[in-house]
Amino acid sequence: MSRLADIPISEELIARARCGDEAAQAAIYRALAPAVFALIRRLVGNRAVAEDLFQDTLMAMFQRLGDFRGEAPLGAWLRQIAVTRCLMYLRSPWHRARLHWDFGDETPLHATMMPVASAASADALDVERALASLTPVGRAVVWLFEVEGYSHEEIARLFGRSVSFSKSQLARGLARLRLDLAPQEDQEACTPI
Amino acid sequence: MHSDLVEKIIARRLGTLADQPAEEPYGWAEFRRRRDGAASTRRMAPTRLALMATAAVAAVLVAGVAWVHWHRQHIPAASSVSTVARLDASDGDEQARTRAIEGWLAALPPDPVVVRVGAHAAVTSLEEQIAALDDLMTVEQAAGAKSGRLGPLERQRAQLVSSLAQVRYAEMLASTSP
Repeated sequence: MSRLADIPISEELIARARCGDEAAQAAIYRALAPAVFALIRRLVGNRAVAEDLFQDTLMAMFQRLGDFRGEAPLGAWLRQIAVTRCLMYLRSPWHRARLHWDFGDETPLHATMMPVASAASADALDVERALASLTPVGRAVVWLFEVEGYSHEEIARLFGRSVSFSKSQLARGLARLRLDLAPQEDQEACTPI
Repeated sequence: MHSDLVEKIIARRLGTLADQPAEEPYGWAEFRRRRDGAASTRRMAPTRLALMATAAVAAVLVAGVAWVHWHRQHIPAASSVSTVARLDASDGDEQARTRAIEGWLAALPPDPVVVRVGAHAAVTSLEEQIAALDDLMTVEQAAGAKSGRLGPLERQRAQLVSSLAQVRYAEMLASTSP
């Protein structure tokens, strides 16, 4: 699946969508929706919550399309909106309370998370499981840094925390992933040539 | 294996995962339906808020009228605060004054219609202090204490009862004022 920032959307289509052309809006939606939904799902885990955030994100995009200056691809701009909304959700007292009620604080959500990838290979499922064993915040930091290419400074700013917060979350997340994925790493290392 | 290498492998595997086909979201028609639903909810919100505010004001007014009506029926004219004030001026006897205030207090409803947390807490605290003093005075009287020890307790009690009356009167004025 294409990354959000790499999905090409023509300026002409954006201009038409800006003027309220429904066909253009639908075309943009069809092009960007799968990638943005996958990202949101990856960051927040729960499908119902991801749908709410997805709806909010795309509504915000169409409402604020007039502010889009075209300096970066539309997908990158949309990714920023989606990430901000997801992190706002992760930081919200409501989300923390839900986590606390359901599992106790800082408990991973692997019990409720379903794999995001629909036709995943065995390896992908292993990585999915390992990711699901992280705390929501840890998972978001790992994903943003390792996959989306955000810097520690950007992550810290998005979370409203210090750079060391981002670094420590990443280190903890990677250590956990290393632990969960280690048997396979060893197998790979020992496979006879 | 070197940790940097392991991290690179993990990063590569995460990248591969990101490229996998993912769960599809709902389609454009469903998005539009939800968007229109959210827009109509937003349009309804001010009307709903106005209705709720009107209902709340009406409920407060009804409660206020009911309280005033109840108050007129149950409070004897002689035990009004102005009467208490006259008693204060004409009768120097502290005990009689305290009894008059207590009579007025007893005639008040146990809880005001509109409860303000601060006043409620103050009333509870004063009532508890008066009850504690009553217990103390009973013990002193039972032990046959001299009036010299009872006197300060009675004065303290009179002060507390007076404070309680002031708080309840202020509360009553606040609850009946528009």
